[in-house]
Amino acid sequence: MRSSGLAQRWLRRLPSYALLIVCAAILLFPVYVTVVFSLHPLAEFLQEGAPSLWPSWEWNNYFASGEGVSDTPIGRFLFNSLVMAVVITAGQLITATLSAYAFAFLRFPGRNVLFVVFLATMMVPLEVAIIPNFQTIQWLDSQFVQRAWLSWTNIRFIDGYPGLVAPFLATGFGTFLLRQYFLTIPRELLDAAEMDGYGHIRKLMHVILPLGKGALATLAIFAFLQAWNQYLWPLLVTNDPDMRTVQIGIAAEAKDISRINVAFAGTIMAFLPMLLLVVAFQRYLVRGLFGGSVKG
Amino acid sequence: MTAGMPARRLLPRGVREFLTALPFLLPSMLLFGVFVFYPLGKSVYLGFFISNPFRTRQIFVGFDQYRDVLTSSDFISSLLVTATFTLYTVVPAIAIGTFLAVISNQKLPGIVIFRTIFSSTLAASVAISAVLWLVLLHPSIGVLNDGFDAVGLSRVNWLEDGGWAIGERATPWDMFTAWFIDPNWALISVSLATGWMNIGLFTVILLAGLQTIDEELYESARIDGAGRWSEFWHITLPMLSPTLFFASVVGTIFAFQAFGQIQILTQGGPVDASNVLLYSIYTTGFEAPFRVGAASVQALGLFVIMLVLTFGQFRLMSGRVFYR
Repeated sequence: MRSSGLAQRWLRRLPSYALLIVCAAILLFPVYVTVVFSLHPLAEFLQEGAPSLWPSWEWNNYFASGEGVSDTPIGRFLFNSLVMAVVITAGQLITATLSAYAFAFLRFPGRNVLFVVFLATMMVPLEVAIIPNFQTIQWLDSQFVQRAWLSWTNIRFIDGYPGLVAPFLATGFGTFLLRQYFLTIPRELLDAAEMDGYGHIRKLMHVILPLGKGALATLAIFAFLQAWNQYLWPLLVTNDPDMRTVQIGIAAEAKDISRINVAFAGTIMAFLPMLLLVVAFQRYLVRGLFGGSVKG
Repeated sequence: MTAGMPARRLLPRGVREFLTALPFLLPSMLLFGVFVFYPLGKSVYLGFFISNPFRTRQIFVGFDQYRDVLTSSDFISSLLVTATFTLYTVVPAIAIGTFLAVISNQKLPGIVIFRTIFSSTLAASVAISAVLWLVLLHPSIGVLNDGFDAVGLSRVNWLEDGGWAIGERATPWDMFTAWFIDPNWALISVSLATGWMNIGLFTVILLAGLQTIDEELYESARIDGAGRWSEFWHITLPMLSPTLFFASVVGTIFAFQAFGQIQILTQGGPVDASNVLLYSIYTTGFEAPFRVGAASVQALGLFVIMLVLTFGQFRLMSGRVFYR
């Protein structure tokens, strides 16, 4: 009796599952084909007719030296992207924490005006400012090359990490997100910390940050995902293939049919970490999308 | 420290408070100054000048360049292409995203897996998405045309057919009908790669929206004998409308920021069939003859559009924050 009820329930669910599976299959079809293509030898793409939709398990594209990923700079591209994304994420966490602390807990003249100015930066996406920003980076680069008192540092803004990360180290979004969260921290906690003789730095490190972990995680996921997925800016400030990020790298490889198998393998390798990130931290992502107002 | 104390006490309280807050704000303020506010002013300034190809000479032309660029047929055409691109990438993706959100909002064992799959495309970058779609649309190795062959559809020249965007039309009516009967496949191709990414984003947004709808509304509708379809039309859709609006604004902002997928798949071509505004800014300013001034004017045009859109988005966001 019970088992037949169970069977019946599953039978009723069958159409729902069928629909879900069909939708998932259609949506993931481009990913499937790219995975298959990344496991084909190059010859598969040079012959007449369509490449097979079943993998030929050519793992060399990923591993072996000679024509695989490890022999191309894709490993290097991935490393560049990682450095860039980590530095941008760290930078945004630091600048946003500091400014959000000031806006949430300090009282000073012009606070509201300044907060509006910070918010206003959200209305100026990088895309609007690429020309002057590129000129600024070019100028900085020339200073570090020409001036003796700077050139010893070997810092490069064109074809260097500083140029890749500089415009993204502070965001109005991050300040807004963290301030919204900081405001929900009970004042009594801070007053108590103050009574214990905590200064601003100790309050920030020992009271605010431990409580604001969720908001910081949200900002970190956003910053990392956006930085890793950048395209236009890295394209402008890097010429040297060794300094390319993985996004620019796979795009360049994909345009060359004689390296296209490697481009497919690189694409999967660039996609996979972000996929895992999004799957693992989805609830933080949702919270951030709505400016921190949804408790995921 | 002790020497500083009396001096600090001499300062008015406001100044002291400001000096306390300054170290916290300075890093962001400096970065915003250099990379956000200065570029805006600089763009306005650059717009006043035309330069020769080697950038050895700057000629002041004042607002003439603003007038010339903003009224040029190239600018109008890139706006038109961007608007079409927005339509192609937002409307279908929202419809699909709503559908996926609704079917993955059922209470079923393992439904989380499907929610994750449906939102997964938001992890893809424009470059990744472009390569993923290249395997389907590529002129020689793309698999979609082979599928078309198999079911008897005619092959499509995905990346190289500009359709209505190319060639002169005799009358406005011709232009209008061409939009329907002569598809701009190049623009559709970049829209497919973009829309695919948007589906994941919209599914996430709409799932969050669905979870805010009161379960009791459905229960009372069920008591009244409403079917699934009428439930969707009379409860889900109206309750979801703020979220749908939010998603469409986000999608529109993304459409106006689109660059990488176009650079990878079509390079704005054929001719200018997929030359969206940002791509046009890039080619004008960063390719010979490096018309930096003209590109700055286009960028300011983009800025005004983004301003309106972000303002709308911000109103929606703060609405959620303060009214809920």
